[in-house]
Amino acid sequence: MLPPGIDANTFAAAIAAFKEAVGEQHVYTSNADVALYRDAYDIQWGLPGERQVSAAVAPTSVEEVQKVVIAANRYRIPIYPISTGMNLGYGGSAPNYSGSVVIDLKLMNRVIEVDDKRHFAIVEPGVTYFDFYRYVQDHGLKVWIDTPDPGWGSPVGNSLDHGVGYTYMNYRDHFYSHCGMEVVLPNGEILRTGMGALPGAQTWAEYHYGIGPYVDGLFSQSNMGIVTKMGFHLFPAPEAYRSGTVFAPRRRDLIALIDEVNYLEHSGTIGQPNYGTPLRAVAQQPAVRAVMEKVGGPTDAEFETVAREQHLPCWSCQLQFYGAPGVIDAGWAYAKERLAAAIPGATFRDDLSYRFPLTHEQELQIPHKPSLGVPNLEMFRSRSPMNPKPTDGHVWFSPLIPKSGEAVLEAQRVFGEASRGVDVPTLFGRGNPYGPLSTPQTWMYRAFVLISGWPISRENPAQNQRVIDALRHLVQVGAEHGWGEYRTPPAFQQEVVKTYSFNNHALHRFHETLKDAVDPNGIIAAGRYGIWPKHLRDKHE
Amino acid sequence: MTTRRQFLRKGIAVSALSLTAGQTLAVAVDTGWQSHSRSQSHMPISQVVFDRDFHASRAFAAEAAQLGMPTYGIAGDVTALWYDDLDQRWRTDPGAIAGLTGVSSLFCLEQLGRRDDRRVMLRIEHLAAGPGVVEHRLRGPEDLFARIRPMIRTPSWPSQMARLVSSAPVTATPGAHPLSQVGPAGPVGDWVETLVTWIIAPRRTV
Repeated sequence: MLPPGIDANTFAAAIAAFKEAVGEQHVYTSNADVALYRDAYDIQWGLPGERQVSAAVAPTSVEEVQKVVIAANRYRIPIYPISTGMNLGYGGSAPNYSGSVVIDLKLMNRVIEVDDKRHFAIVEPGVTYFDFYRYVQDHGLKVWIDTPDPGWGSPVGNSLDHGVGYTYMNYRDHFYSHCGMEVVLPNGEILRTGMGALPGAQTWAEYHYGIGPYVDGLFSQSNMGIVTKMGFHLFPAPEAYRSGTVFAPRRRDLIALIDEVNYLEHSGTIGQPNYGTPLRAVAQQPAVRAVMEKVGGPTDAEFETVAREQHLPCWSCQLQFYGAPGVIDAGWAYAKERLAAAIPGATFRDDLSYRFPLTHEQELQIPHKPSLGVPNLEMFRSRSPMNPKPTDGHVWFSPLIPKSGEAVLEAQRVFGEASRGVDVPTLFGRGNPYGPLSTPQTWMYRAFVLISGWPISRENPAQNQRVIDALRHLVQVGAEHGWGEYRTPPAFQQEVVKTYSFNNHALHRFHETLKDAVDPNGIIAAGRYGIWPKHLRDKHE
Repeated sequence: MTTRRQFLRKGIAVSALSLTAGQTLAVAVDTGWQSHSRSQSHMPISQVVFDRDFHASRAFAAEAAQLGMPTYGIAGDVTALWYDDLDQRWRTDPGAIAGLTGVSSLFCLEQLGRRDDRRVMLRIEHLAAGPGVVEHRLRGPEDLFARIRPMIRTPSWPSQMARLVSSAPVTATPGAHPLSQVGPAGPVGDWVETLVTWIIAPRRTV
């Protein structure tokens, strides 16, 4: 296909210029090659609305990126940069603006520097978490990476997409833990942010701000440039790890549980807490479903009657400790002391305990490897008793809610009612994806995500449309309650951005003003997170 | 003691069968479906992947080993296969790999292959279609269909699939006509997802 508004001759000239820039072997134009850049989780897969790629170009250096950008400007070719394009569920490798040329940064895969005394790294966009892990291990460096699940993506791409991980405090927020970047601007010029603006800077990946306005955020979930290097703060390799779980007997104990765990987390005692409910294991029992799916939700007494009859506590939270053995043992003892005082009847279970390095047997038994900074692809081992018929993919609905028990209980009720009666399977069976047993995800460190996964079917477009309708409704319901999404697939980016509407969409209009200033031809990632260039704005907003 | 460095290298994969020199594979060019009789070249199959959880896949691997192809066992998860083997192999080895696995394992390998310009060149899905029956689905040219039809009329079709990948032409899939045919299943009681016979090869294979 051709990019919209570009004739065949112009496109051919642009392709020739791209080949001149990166070499013929790194320009992909055949249908079979271009098909590799389809978003495997596109909710419009195979339909006219599927986002298409016209060609792909894989530069090997920042100089080649500059040449590609200059050529794209010359011929007005829309381009869409990806690091590895693995953010499945949030867009993958396909552009928002169908017909764009993908700039695949996979061949820019150098780990430039890792310092395990000052705990930082600088990497290129094509470096994956597997690459990063291998580099650290092969060089015997005393740092951990914080990897998402799965680990085939890129630290640069994941952080620019506001991706998250699983270890300790702010290391889980990958954009937050970045420090400094190099960017090719839409005019082909190279920009370095923060301390990187100082020639010969010695602290580029250690001090975020440099001097003057801090602009790094303009290049995340955005289309203001192509990031070609990023620095990251790294977690010093701990000597030991342990985890333990607290169980809270009553429904309203969730409030005290979250308050106490917040204190432990924000004061640095624990890493990522993992909330759950033991009642999930019996949720498919008809008697339990009858209570949990009651219109308006169960009363506290009804909820607790179910728990009592099942001989189960209402909530659980696994706490994770990283550090010196004596320190984390004391941390767990302290956590139990605080939680026991705050939650009458709370019980505790010792879980895992590791001293590093691990034995092979211990390594194989790690139930969730990203919690120990180890990349893997286990989540794609989709067959399981819980998931006997894996879907063709999924999209996420990811609203941020406050870190309080009151907010969780309210969001359970609101989203449970809003998604009641939606006739689609969930990722793990049928039923409402929200309800009184929904528990928050805790990647963000300072906010919860009450996430839900929605299936995609390549054979059932009617079901996909119901998913689209349901998610659009949830976006609006969430916004009405002050709960915005942190990240969303292209099919929903425009609508989610519109909910961030304070003062007549002042923030969005500011983004557009910046876009027009730095990318007047609108070549880079048109439409990403609702930011369209001026010449396309009327057609898409 | 094993260090973190060694962790993923050990992984879960095993080579369940004897390893011998790579089998050669007839391979056609990279764009559009190519007839078995058209332009082909030969390259080694550098790895045959099977899933230890499925009887059909184990039978496939046993036959592949008999044919002299190196085998690598997984159990759904391809992490160790990637980290221990393909991550490095695909940077330098021009050969193809083949397998009979669950579709989710192939999905991962297909996504990972993009980095090194690798594509799925053959894809035959096997779906449990009822008691004792399996449905085979593929897209391709008629001469390939003609070759495959007798292979899937027997309960030993997994072994036949091994023979197919050891000698079949590798072709690209877009625009091809679909074939769907049922046959005797053999032991499929352990299936919980669609299985697939596949070949992944460099896009510039000629």
